Amino acid sequence: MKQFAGLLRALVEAEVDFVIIGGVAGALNGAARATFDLDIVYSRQRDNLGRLANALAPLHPYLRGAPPNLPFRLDVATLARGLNFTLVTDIGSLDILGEVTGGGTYEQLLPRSRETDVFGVRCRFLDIETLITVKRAAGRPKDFEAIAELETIRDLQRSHAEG
Amino acid sequence: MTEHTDPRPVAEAAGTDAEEGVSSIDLIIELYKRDVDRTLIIEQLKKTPAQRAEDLQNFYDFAMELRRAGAKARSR
Repeated sequence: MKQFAGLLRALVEAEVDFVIIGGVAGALNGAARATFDLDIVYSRQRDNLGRLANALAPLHPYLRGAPPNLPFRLDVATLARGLNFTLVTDIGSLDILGEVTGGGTYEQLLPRSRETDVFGVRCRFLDIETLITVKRAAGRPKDFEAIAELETIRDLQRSHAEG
Repeated sequence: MTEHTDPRPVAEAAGTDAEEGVSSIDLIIELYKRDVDRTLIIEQLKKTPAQRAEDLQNFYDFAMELRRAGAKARSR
């Protein structure tokens, strides 16, 4: 199964409330930069934690970079007691965030996201302005090039809209 | 790289004042903007988000195939 398509279909089919952020959101906004993991911000509502755990269970999520054979289970209790998890699954890497620096929670990001059909499912991704804000807030040197690209896209779109 | 030592042109591009309140991060990002390939972006902006997602998936598949081929070659 293909990584981005498989993960997004699993989440959408389980009716998980989430917004795509990070490099995939950058690509959906027009960035030509490659990425190798999917980052999402998920709703912390209790029902959603259950849907998220059920969606990912068949993909055997495990803590990325952790030693093998730890008794890790991504269930509702684990999700409720944690917040942000960097995971590896059978079909690729997935970061699930309860909150993102500079953007907040799923509910706060929702009005700052756009809806689109990708891989045959409908999902939401962060708008370019908020994506820039979040990446700037993270302050990671590895993001500087990505921010430069996103701001260039935003400026090109603005100048195109202004005619 | 000596062309990057004077922050004033960069600050001007960022719409900020080089003398006061300009963030060094803004300056760095403005420097990176000089190297952004606008032709690639313009091509991407002609596509729908769904097409961009397909491109990303195709690139990922290609990269994974290269990784597998590299691992196989190294194991010989």
